[in-house]
Amino acid sequence: MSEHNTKPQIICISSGKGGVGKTSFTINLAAALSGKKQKVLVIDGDLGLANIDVMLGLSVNHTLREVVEEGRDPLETLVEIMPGFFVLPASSGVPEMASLSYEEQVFLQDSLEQIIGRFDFVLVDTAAGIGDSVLWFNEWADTTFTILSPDPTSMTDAYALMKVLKTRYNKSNFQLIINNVKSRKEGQEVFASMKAVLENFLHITPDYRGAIPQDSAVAQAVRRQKPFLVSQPKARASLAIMEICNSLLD
Amino acid sequence: MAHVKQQQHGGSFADFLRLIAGQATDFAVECVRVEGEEHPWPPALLLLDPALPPAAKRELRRRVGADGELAPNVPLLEKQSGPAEMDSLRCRVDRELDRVKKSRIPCGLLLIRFNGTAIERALPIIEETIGPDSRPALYDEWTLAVLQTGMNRRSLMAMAERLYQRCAARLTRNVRIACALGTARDLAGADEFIARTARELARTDDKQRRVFSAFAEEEQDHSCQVTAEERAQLFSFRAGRPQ
Repeated sequence: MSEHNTKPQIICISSGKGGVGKTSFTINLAAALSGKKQKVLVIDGDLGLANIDVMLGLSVNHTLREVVEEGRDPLETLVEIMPGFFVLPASSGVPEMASLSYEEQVFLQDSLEQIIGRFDFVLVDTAAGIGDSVLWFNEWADTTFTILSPDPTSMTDAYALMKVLKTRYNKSNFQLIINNVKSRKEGQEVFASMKAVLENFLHITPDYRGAIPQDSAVAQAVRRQKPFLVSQPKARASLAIMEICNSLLD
Repeated sequence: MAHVKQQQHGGSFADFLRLIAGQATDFAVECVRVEGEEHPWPPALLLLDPALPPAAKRELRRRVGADGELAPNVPLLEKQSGPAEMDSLRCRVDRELDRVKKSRIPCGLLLIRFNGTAIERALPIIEETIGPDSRPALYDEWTLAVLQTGMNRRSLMAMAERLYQRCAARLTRNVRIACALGTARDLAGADEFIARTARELARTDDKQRRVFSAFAEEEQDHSCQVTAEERAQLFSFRAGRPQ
Protein backbone atom coordinates (compact mmCIF):
# COMPACT_ATOMS: atom_id res chain seq x y z
CA MET A 1 0.00 0.00 0.00
CA SER A 2 1.36 3.38 -0.98
CA GLU A 3 2.35 6.11 1.44
CA HIS A 4 -0.32 8.78 1.77
CA ASN A 5 0.75 10.82 4.81
CA THR A 6 -2.21 13.08 5.28
CA LYS A 7 -4.14 13.54 8.47
CA PRO A 8 -7.03 11.12 8.29
CA GLN A 9 -10.36 11.70 9.92
CA ILE A 10 -10.46 9.39 12.94
CA ILE A 11 -13.97 8.37 13.88
CA CYS A 12 -14.75 6.25 16.90
CA ILE A 13 -17.97 4.28 16.75
CA SER A 14 -19.35 3.56 20.22
CA SER A 15 -22.69 2.85 21.76
CA GLY A 16 -22.43 2.09 25.45
CA LYS A 17 -24.79 -0.86 25.13
CA GLY A 18 -23.78 -3.96 23.19
CA GLY A 19 -25.74 -5.40 20.26
CA VAL A 20 -26.85 -2.03 18.93
CA GLY A 21 -25.16 -2.47 15.55
CA LYS A 22 -21.76 -0.80 15.89
CA THR A 23 -19.81 -3.41 13.97
CA SER A 24 -22.39 -3.76 11.23
CA PHE A 25 -22.55 0.01 10.83
CA THR A 26 -18.75 0.30 10.82
CA ILE A 27 -18.07 -2.25 8.11
CA ASN A 28 -20.88 -0.97 5.91
CA LEU A 29 -19.77 2.63 6.27
CA ALA A 30 -16.22 1.53 5.41
CA ALA A 31 -17.52 -0.30 2.34
CA ALA A 32 -19.47 2.78 1.29
CA LEU A 33 -16.50 5.12 1.77
CA SER A 34 -14.11 2.83 -0.08
CA GLY A 35 -16.66 2.68 -2.92
CA LYS A 36 -16.22 6.44 -3.15
CA LYS A 37 -12.47 6.03 -3.69
CA GLN A 38 -11.59 6.75 -0.06
CA LYS A 39 -8.89 4.77 1.73
CA VAL A 40 -10.42 3.44 4.91
CA LEU A 41 -8.86 1.65 7.86
CA VAL A 42 -11.20 -0.15 10.24
CA ILE A 43 -9.64 -0.92 13.60
CA ASP A 44 -11.35 -3.58 15.66
CA GLY A 45 -11.32 -1.75 18.98
CA ASP A 46 -12.95 -4.59 20.86
CA LEU A 47 -9.51 -5.82 21.76
CA GLY A 48 -10.48 -8.82 23.88
CA LEU A 49 -13.67 -9.95 22.12
CA ALA A 50 -13.20 -8.96 18.51
CA ASN A 51 -15.77 -9.75 15.88
CA ILE A 52 -15.14 -7.67 12.79
CA ASP A 53 -13.31 -10.66 11.35
CA VAL A 54 -16.41 -12.79 12.01
CA MET A 55 -18.74 -10.24 10.44
CA LEU A 56 -16.57 -10.21 7.33
CA GLY A 57 -15.92 -13.96 7.22
CA LEU A 58 -12.17 -13.48 7.56
CA SER A 59 -9.68 -16.05 8.65
CA VAL A 60 -6.99 -13.96 10.28
CA ASN A 61 -3.57 -15.18 11.23
CA HIS A 62 -2.36 -12.06 13.00
CA THR A 63 -4.11 -9.50 15.12
CA LEU A 64 -3.49 -6.42 17.23
CA ARG A 65 -2.40 -8.82 19.92
CA GLU A 66 0.82 -9.53 18.03
CA VAL A 67 1.27 -5.83 17.39
CA VAL A 68 1.11 -5.12 21.13
CA GLU A 69 2.80 -8.22 22.48
CA GLU A 70 5.41 -8.94 19.84
CA GLY A 71 5.91 -5.58 18.19
CA ARG A 72 4.64 -6.92 14.87
CA ASP A 73 4.41 -4.33 12.12
CA PRO A 74 0.76 -3.24 12.01
CA LEU A 75 1.00 -2.80 8.22
CA GLU A 76 1.70 -6.51 7.90
CA THR A 77 -1.31 -7.22 10.07
CA LEU A 78 -3.78 -5.38 7.83
CA VAL A 79 -6.30 -7.36 5.84
CA GLU A 80 -7.62 -5.85 2.61
CA ILE A 81 -11.36 -6.49 2.28
CA MET A 82 -11.92 -4.66 -0.99
CA PRO A 83 -9.98 -1.96 -2.80
CA GLY A 84 -9.32 0.83 -0.30
CA PHE A 85 -10.98 -0.97 2.65
CA PHE A 86 -8.53 -2.41 5.18
CA VAL A 87 -9.12 -4.04 8.55
CA LEU A 88 -6.79 -4.24 11.52
CA PRO A 89 -8.27 -7.24 13.33
CA ALA A 90 -8.15 -7.86 17.06
CA SER A 91 -8.11 -11.05 19.08
CA SER A 92 -11.01 -12.81 20.71
CA GLY A 93 -10.99 -14.51 24.09
CA VAL A 94 -7.86 -12.75 25.32
CA PRO A 95 -8.71 -10.96 28.58
CA GLU A 96 -5.24 -9.37 28.77
CA MET A 97 -6.00 -7.42 25.61
CA ALA A 98 -9.21 -6.08 27.11
CA SER A 99 -7.28 -4.36 29.88
CA LEU A 100 -4.03 -3.07 28.43
CA SER A 101 -1.46 -1.62 30.76
CA TYR A 102 -0.39 1.99 30.47
CA GLU A 103 2.78 1.03 28.60
CA GLU A 104 0.85 -1.19 26.21
CA GLN A 105 -1.60 1.62 25.48
CA VAL A 106 1.30 3.93 24.67
CA PHE A 107 2.83 1.32 22.43
CA LEU A 108 -0.45 0.62 20.64
CA GLN A 109 -1.09 4.31 20.08
CA ASP A 110 2.41 4.78 18.65
CA SER A 111 1.96 1.77 16.37
CA LEU A 112 -1.37 3.02 15.06
CA GLU A 113 -0.08 6.52 14.46
CA GLN A 114 2.66 5.09 12.26
CA ILE A 115 0.15 3.78 9.74
CA ILE A 116 -2.94 5.97 9.84
CA GLY A 117 -1.38 8.63 7.58
CA ARG A 118 -1.96 6.26 4.66
CA PHE A 119 -5.73 6.52 4.99
CA ASP A 120 -8.46 9.10 4.49
CA PHE A 121 -10.67 7.66 7.21
CA VAL A 122 -9.90 5.58 10.29
CA LEU A 123 -12.98 3.97 11.83
CA VAL A 124 -12.58 2.44 15.28
CA ASP A 125 -15.26 -0.06 16.20
CA THR A 126 -15.02 -0.04 19.99
CA ALA A 127 -16.17 -2.56 22.55
CA ALA A 128 -19.47 -2.08 24.34
CA GLY A 129 -19.46 -0.44 27.74
CA ILE A 130 -17.34 2.34 29.13
CA GLY A 131 -14.14 0.40 29.75
CA ASP A 132 -10.66 1.86 29.44
CA SER A 133 -10.17 0.95 25.80
CA VAL A 134 -13.51 2.52 24.82
CA LEU A 135 -12.60 5.75 26.58
CA TRP A 136 -9.09 6.08 25.24
CA PHE A 137 -10.03 5.17 21.67
CA ASN A 138 -12.68 7.87 21.89
CA GLU A 139 -10.21 10.33 23.28
CA TRP A 140 -7.80 9.55 20.48
CA ALA A 141 -10.47 10.03 17.79
CA ASP A 142 -11.47 13.36 16.27
CA THR A 143 -15.15 12.50 16.33
CA THR A 144 -17.39 10.12 18.22
CA PHE A 145 -20.22 8.49 16.35
CA THR A 146 -22.62 7.33 19.03
CA ILE A 147 -24.93 4.67 17.73
CA LEU A 148 -28.13 3.90 19.58
CA SER A 149 -31.49 2.33 19.03
CA PRO A 150 -34.86 3.60 20.26
CA ASP A 151 -34.72 1.13 23.18
CA PRO A 152 -34.60 2.86 26.58
CA THR A 153 -31.59 0.77 27.63
CA SER A 154 -29.66 1.74 24.52
CA MET A 155 -30.54 5.42 24.95
CA THR A 156 -29.51 5.38 28.59
CA ASP A 157 -26.20 3.65 27.90
CA ALA A 158 -25.39 5.94 24.97
CA TYR A 159 -26.11 8.95 27.14
CA ALA A 160 -23.98 7.53 29.98
CA LEU A 161 -21.07 7.03 27.57
CA MET A 162 -21.30 10.61 26.29
CA LYS A 163 -21.58 11.89 29.85
CA VAL A 164 -18.38 10.11 30.86
CA LEU A 165 -16.56 11.34 27.74
CA LYS A 166 -17.70 14.90 28.35
CA THR A 167 -17.07 14.91 32.09
CA ARG A 168 -13.76 13.12 32.20
CA TYR A 169 -12.27 13.91 28.79
CA ASN A 170 -14.06 17.11 27.84
CA LYS A 171 -15.24 15.59 24.56
CA SER A 172 -18.14 17.42 23.02
CA ASN A 173 -18.10 16.43 19.35
CA PHE A 174 -20.80 13.75 19.25
CA GLN A 175 -22.64 12.66 16.15
CA LEU A 176 -25.65 10.44 16.69
CA ILE A 177 -26.83 7.59 14.51
CA ILE A 178 -30.14 6.06 15.41
CA ASN A 179 -30.23 2.43 14.34
CA ASN A 180 -33.11 0.06 13.83
CA VAL A 181 -35.83 2.68 13.60
CA LYS A 182 -39.36 2.00 12.33
CA SER A 183 -39.48 5.30 10.49
CA ARG A 184 -37.51 8.47 9.88
CA LYS A 185 -39.86 10.17 12.31
CA GLU A 186 -38.89 7.77 15.08
CA GLY A 187 -35.21 8.43 14.41
CA GLN A 188 -35.78 12.16 14.61
CA GLU A 189 -37.76 11.82 17.83
CA VAL A 190 -35.05 9.78 19.50
CA PHE A 191 -32.46 12.30 18.37
CA ALA A 192 -34.54 15.24 19.60
CA SER A 193 -34.93 13.60 22.98
CA MET A 194 -31.24 12.84 23.27
CA LYS A 195 -30.29 16.31 22.09
CA ALA A 196 -32.55 17.95 24.67
CA VAL A 197 -31.01 15.96 27.53
CA LEU A 198 -27.45 16.59 26.32
CA GLU A 199 -28.13 20.32 26.03
CA ASN A 200 -29.94 20.57 29.35
CA PHE A 201 -27.57 18.58 31.50
CA LEU A 202 -24.21 18.50 29.72
CA HIS A 203 -24.47 21.74 27.73
CA ILE A 204 -23.42 20.10 24.48
CA THR A 205 -25.25 19.96 21.17
CA PRO A 206 -24.89 16.71 19.23
CA ASP A 207 -25.17 16.46 15.46
CA TYR A 208 -27.69 14.22 13.75
CA ARG A 209 -25.78 12.01 11.37
CA GLY A 210 -28.72 9.85 10.29
CA ALA A 211 -31.01 6.94 11.04
CA ILE A 212 -30.91 3.39 9.77
CA PRO A 213 -34.27 1.68 9.31
CA GLN A 214 -35.21 -1.80 10.43
CA ASP A 215 -34.34 -4.02 7.52
CA SER A 216 -34.18 -7.80 7.13
CA ALA A 217 -31.17 -7.29 4.85
CA VAL A 218 -29.08 -6.48 7.93
CA ALA A 219 -29.64 -9.83 9.64
CA GLN A 220 -29.18 -11.70 6.35
CA ALA A 221 -25.86 -9.96 5.76
CA VAL A 222 -24.64 -10.88 9.24
CA ARG A 223 -25.38 -14.52 8.54
CA ARG A 224 -23.70 -14.33 5.13
CA GLN A 225 -20.73 -12.56 6.71
CA LYS A 226 -20.81 -9.80 4.12
CA PRO A 227 -21.61 -6.08 4.32
CA PHE A 228 -25.28 -5.58 3.37
CA LEU A 229 -24.19 -2.62 1.32
CA VAL A 230 -22.37 -5.07 -0.95
CA SER A 231 -24.87 -7.93 -0.97
CA GLN A 232 -28.02 -5.78 -1.12
CA PRO A 233 -27.07 -2.28 -2.21
CA LYS A 234 -30.69 -1.27 -2.82
CA ALA A 235 -31.88 -2.29 0.65
CA ARG A 236 -33.28 0.52 2.81
CA ALA A 237 -30.45 0.12 5.32
CA SER A 238 -27.88 0.34 2.52
CA LEU A 239 -29.42 3.56 1.23
CA ALA A 240 -29.29 5.02 4.74
CA ILE A 241 -25.61 4.12 5.03
CA MET A 242 -24.95 5.76 1.66
CA GLU A 243 -26.64 8.94 2.91
CA ILE A 244 -24.36 8.99 5.94
CA CYS A 245 -21.35 8.28 3.74
CA ASN A 246 -22.25 11.14 1.38
CA SER A 247 -22.75 13.53 4.29
CA LEU A 248 -19.26 12.66 5.53
CA LEU A 249 -17.76 13.50 2.16
CA ASP A 250 -19.69 16.76 1.67
CA MET B 1 -4.67 8.59 26.00
CA ALA B 2 -4.57 11.97 27.68
CA HIS B 3 -2.04 10.46 30.07
CA VAL B 4 0.14 9.43 27.19
CA LYS B 5 0.12 12.86 25.60
CA GLN B 6 0.91 14.51 28.89
CA GLN B 7 3.70 12.10 29.49
CA GLN B 8 5.20 12.74 26.08
CA HIS B 9 4.90 16.47 25.81
CA GLY B 10 4.11 17.86 29.25
CA GLY B 11 7.41 17.48 31.10
CA SER B 12 9.79 20.41 31.00
CA PHE B 13 13.49 20.35 31.79
CA ALA B 14 12.68 22.01 35.12
CA ASP B 15 10.34 19.11 35.92
CA PHE B 16 13.10 16.68 35.03
CA LEU B 17 15.54 18.41 37.38
CA ARG B 18 12.92 18.45 40.09
CA LEU B 19 12.50 14.71 39.64
CA ILE B 20 16.24 14.11 39.92
CA ALA B 21 16.47 16.33 42.99
CA GLY B 22 13.63 14.38 44.58
CA GLN B 23 15.25 11.04 43.89
CA ALA B 24 18.54 12.34 45.24
CA THR B 25 16.97 12.74 48.68
CA ASP B 26 16.72 8.96 48.91
CA PHE B 27 20.49 8.60 48.65
CA ALA B 28 23.51 9.82 50.51
CA VAL B 29 24.37 12.53 48.01
CA GLU B 30 24.58 16.27 48.17
CA CYS B 31 22.46 17.98 45.59
CA VAL B 32 23.36 21.52 44.61
CA ARG B 33 20.96 23.55 42.51
CA VAL B 34 22.94 25.82 40.25
CA GLU B 35 20.93 29.01 40.03
CA GLY B 36 20.47 30.74 36.68
CA GLU B 37 20.00 34.43 36.12
CA GLU B 38 17.79 34.19 33.06
CA HIS B 39 15.34 31.58 34.23
CA PRO B 40 13.26 31.33 37.37
CA TRP B 41 14.22 27.66 37.70
CA PRO B 42 17.68 26.16 38.22
CA PRO B 43 19.26 25.34 34.85
CA ALA B 44 21.41 22.56 36.34
CA LEU B 45 21.91 20.28 39.29
CA LEU B 46 25.21 19.12 40.69
CA LEU B 47 25.18 15.81 42.52
CA LEU B 48 28.14 15.34 44.85
CA ASP B 49 29.50 12.48 46.85
CA PRO B 50 29.35 13.84 50.42
CA ALA B 51 32.53 11.91 51.25
CA LEU B 52 34.57 14.11 48.90
CA PRO B 53 37.06 16.42 50.59
CA PRO B 54 35.75 19.99 50.93
CA ALA B 55 38.37 21.27 48.49
CA ALA B 56 37.26 18.83 45.82
CA LYS B 57 33.63 19.83 46.33
CA ARG B 58 34.57 23.49 46.06
CA GLU B 59 36.41 22.82 42.82
CA LEU B 60 33.49 20.96 41.31
CA ARG B 61 31.10 23.72 42.31
CA ARG B 62 33.42 26.29 40.82
CA ARG B 63 33.48 24.43 37.50
CA VAL B 64 29.70 24.58 37.14
CA GLY B 65 29.45 28.17 38.32
CA ALA B 66 28.12 27.36 41.77
CA ASP B 67 31.24 28.25 43.66
CA GLY B 68 29.71 30.40 46.40
CA GLU B 69 29.61 27.54 48.86
CA LEU B 70 27.57 29.35 51.46
CA ALA B 71 25.65 31.54 49.07
CA PRO B 72 21.91 31.28 49.65
CA ASN B 73 21.27 30.51 45.99
CA VAL B 74 23.09 27.20 46.28
CA PRO B 75 21.00 25.34 48.81
CA LEU B 76 21.80 21.80 49.77
CA LEU B 77 18.82 19.54 49.89
CA GLU B 78 17.73 18.41 53.29
CA LYS B 79 19.56 16.03 55.50
CA GLN B 80 18.27 12.51 55.93
CA SER B 81 16.68 13.18 59.31
CA GLY B 82 13.96 15.51 60.51
CA PRO B 83 11.13 16.68 58.30
CA ALA B 84 11.82 16.99 54.61
CA GLU B 85 11.38 20.26 52.74
CA MET B 86 8.34 20.87 50.60
CA ASP B 87 10.42 20.93 47.41
CA SER B 88 11.45 17.40 48.14
CA LEU B 89 7.89 16.37 48.92
CA ARG B 90 6.68 17.97 45.70
CA CYS B 91 9.19 15.86 43.77
CA ARG B 92 8.04 12.75 45.54
CA VAL B 93 4.39 13.61 44.86
CA ASP B 94 5.29 14.15 41.19
CA ARG B 95 6.93 10.75 40.97
CA GLU B 96 4.16 9.08 42.90
CA LEU B 97 1.38 10.53 40.73
CA ASP B 98 3.29 9.35 37.68
CA ARG B 99 3.48 5.88 39.19
CA VAL B 100 -0.21 5.97 40.12
CA LYS B 101 -1.14 6.67 36.49
CA LYS B 102 0.87 3.69 35.36
CA SER B 103 0.03 1.22 38.10
CA ARG B 104 -3.49 2.49 38.94
CA ILE B 105 -2.71 1.99 42.60
CA PRO B 106 -3.77 5.22 44.30
CA CYS B 107 -1.77 7.27 46.75
CA GLY B 108 -2.80 9.58 49.55
CA LEU B 109 -1.60 12.91 50.85
CA LEU B 110 -2.19 14.04 54.41
CA LEU B 111 -1.70 17.49 55.87
CA ILE B 112 -1.54 17.45 59.65
CA ARG B 113 -1.70 20.75 61.48
CA PHE B 114 -0.77 21.18 65.12
CA ASN B 115 -2.09 24.52 66.22
CA GLY B 116 0.27 25.90 68.84
CA THR B 117 2.27 22.71 69.30
CA ALA B 118 5.85 22.49 68.12
CA ILE B 119 6.24 20.20 65.14
CA GLU B 120 9.35 18.62 66.70
CA ARG B 121 7.23 17.16 69.48
CA ALA B 122 4.71 15.71 67.05
CA LEU B 123 7.25 14.29 64.65
CA PRO B 124 8.03 11.07 66.56
CA ILE B 125 4.34 10.22 66.84
CA ILE B 126 3.78 10.83 63.15
CA GLU B 127 6.84 8.83 62.12
CA GLU B 128 5.90 5.95 64.36
CA THR B 129 2.37 5.85 62.90
CA ILE B 130 3.18 6.17 59.22
CA GLY B 131 6.07 3.71 59.33
CA PRO B 132 9.56 3.84 57.87
CA ASP B 133 8.55 3.90 54.21
CA SER B 134 7.26 7.42 54.35
CA ARG B 135 8.80 10.64 55.51
CA PRO B 136 6.93 13.73 56.73
CA ALA B 137 7.71 17.06 55.13
CA LEU B 138 7.38 20.48 56.67
CA TYR B 139 4.43 22.17 54.96
CA ASP B 140 4.50 25.28 57.16
CA GLU B 141 5.38 26.21 60.72
CA TRP B 142 2.51 24.20 62.20
CA THR B 143 1.82 21.65 59.50
CA LEU B 144 3.36 18.40 58.33
CA ALA B 145 2.69 16.77 54.96
CA VAL B 146 2.78 13.00 54.57
CA LEU B 147 2.65 11.15 51.27
CA GLN B 148 1.32 7.61 51.57
CA THR B 149 1.80 5.22 48.68
CA GLY B 150 -0.55 2.37 47.82
CA MET B 151 -3.47 3.83 49.77
CA ASN B 152 -7.11 3.67 48.92
CA ARG B 153 -9.79 5.92 50.32
CA ARG B 154 -10.61 3.66 53.21
CA SER B 155 -7.04 3.01 54.32
CA LEU B 156 -6.21 6.70 54.03
CA MET B 157 -9.11 7.66 56.26
CA ALA B 158 -8.11 4.93 58.71
CA MET B 159 -4.56 6.29 58.75
CA ALA B 160 -5.86 9.82 59.38
CA GLU B 161 -8.00 8.63 62.23
CA ARG B 162 -5.10 6.65 63.72
CA LEU B 163 -2.86 9.70 63.53
CA TYR B 164 -5.48 11.83 65.22
CA GLN B 165 -6.08 9.34 68.03
CA ARG B 166 -2.39 8.98 68.81
CA CYS B 167 -1.71 12.70 68.74
CA ALA B 168 -4.78 13.39 70.85
CA ALA B 169 -3.77 10.77 73.42
CA ARG B 170 -0.12 11.70 73.69
CA LEU B 171 0.25 15.33 72.66
CA THR B 172 -2.71 17.56 71.94
CA ARG B 173 -6.30 17.36 70.77
CA ASN B 174 -5.81 20.50 68.75
CA VAL B 175 -4.93 18.61 65.59
CA ARG B 176 -6.53 19.02 62.17
CA ILE B 177 -5.96 16.50 59.39
CA ALA B 178 -6.84 16.79 55.72
CA CYS B 179 -6.54 13.98 53.18
CA ALA B 180 -6.65 13.76 49.41
CA LEU B 181 -6.49 10.71 47.20
CA GLY B 182 -4.52 10.62 43.94
CA THR B 183 -5.97 8.20 41.42
CA ALA B 184 -5.09 7.15 37.89
CA ARG B 185 -8.07 9.07 36.52
CA ASP B 186 -6.99 12.18 38.35
CA LEU B 187 -5.08 14.40 35.97
CA ALA B 188 -3.96 16.90 38.61
CA GLY B 189 -0.26 17.61 38.88
CA ALA B 190 1.70 17.68 42.13
CA ASP B 191 1.01 21.33 42.89
CA GLU B 192 -2.71 20.98 42.31
CA PHE B 193 -2.81 17.80 44.38
CA ILE B 194 -1.08 19.52 47.29
CA ALA B 195 -3.28 22.61 46.90
CA ARG B 196 -6.39 20.44 46.94
CA THR B 197 -5.31 18.90 50.22
CA ALA B 198 -4.57 22.36 51.61
CA ARG B 199 -8.09 23.47 50.71
CA GLU B 200 -9.43 20.57 52.73
CA LEU B 201 -7.25 21.62 55.63
CA ALA B 202 -8.88 25.04 55.52
CA ARG B 203 -12.26 23.34 55.54
CA THR B 204 -11.44 21.52 58.76
CA ASP B 205 -11.54 24.92 60.43
CA ASP B 206 -14.66 26.06 58.63
CA LYS B 207 -16.53 22.92 59.54
CA GLN B 208 -14.88 22.41 62.91
CA ARG B 209 -13.99 18.84 62.08
CA ARG B 210 -10.80 17.09 62.97
CA VAL B 211 -10.43 15.13 59.72
CA PHE B 212 -11.52 16.28 56.31
CA SER B 213 -11.08 14.50 53.02
CA ALA B 214 -11.06 15.62 49.39
CA PHE B 215 -11.92 12.65 47.30
CA ALA B 216 -12.16 14.10 43.83
CA GLU B 217 -12.61 10.62 42.50
CA GLU B 218 -15.82 10.27 44.47
CA GLU B 219 -17.14 13.57 43.18
CA GLN B 220 -16.27 12.60 39.62
CA ASP B 221 -17.95 9.23 39.95
CA HIS B 222 -21.13 10.89 41.07
CA SER B 223 -20.93 13.54 38.40
CA CYS B 224 -20.91 10.85 35.68
CA GLN B 225 -23.79 8.85 37.01
CA VAL B 226 -26.96 9.16 34.97
CA THR B 227 -29.55 10.74 37.23
CA ALA B 228 -33.27 10.07 37.50
CA GLU B 229 -33.99 13.49 35.96
CA GLU B 230 -31.82 12.74 32.96
CA ARG B 231 -33.51 9.39 32.42
CA ALA B 232 -36.95 10.88 32.73
CA GLN B 233 -36.19 13.41 30.04
CA LEU B 234 -34.54 10.82 27.80
CA PHE B 235 -37.74 8.83 27.58
CA SER B 236 -40.15 11.75 27.56
CA PHE B 237 -40.75 11.53 23.81
CA ARG B 238 -42.36 8.11 24.25
CA ALA B 239 -45.08 9.44 26.49
CA GLY B 240 -45.49 12.54 24.35
CA ARG B 241 -44.47 14.71 27.28
CA PRO B 242 -43.02 18.12 26.52
CA GLN B 243 -39.21 18.18 26.58
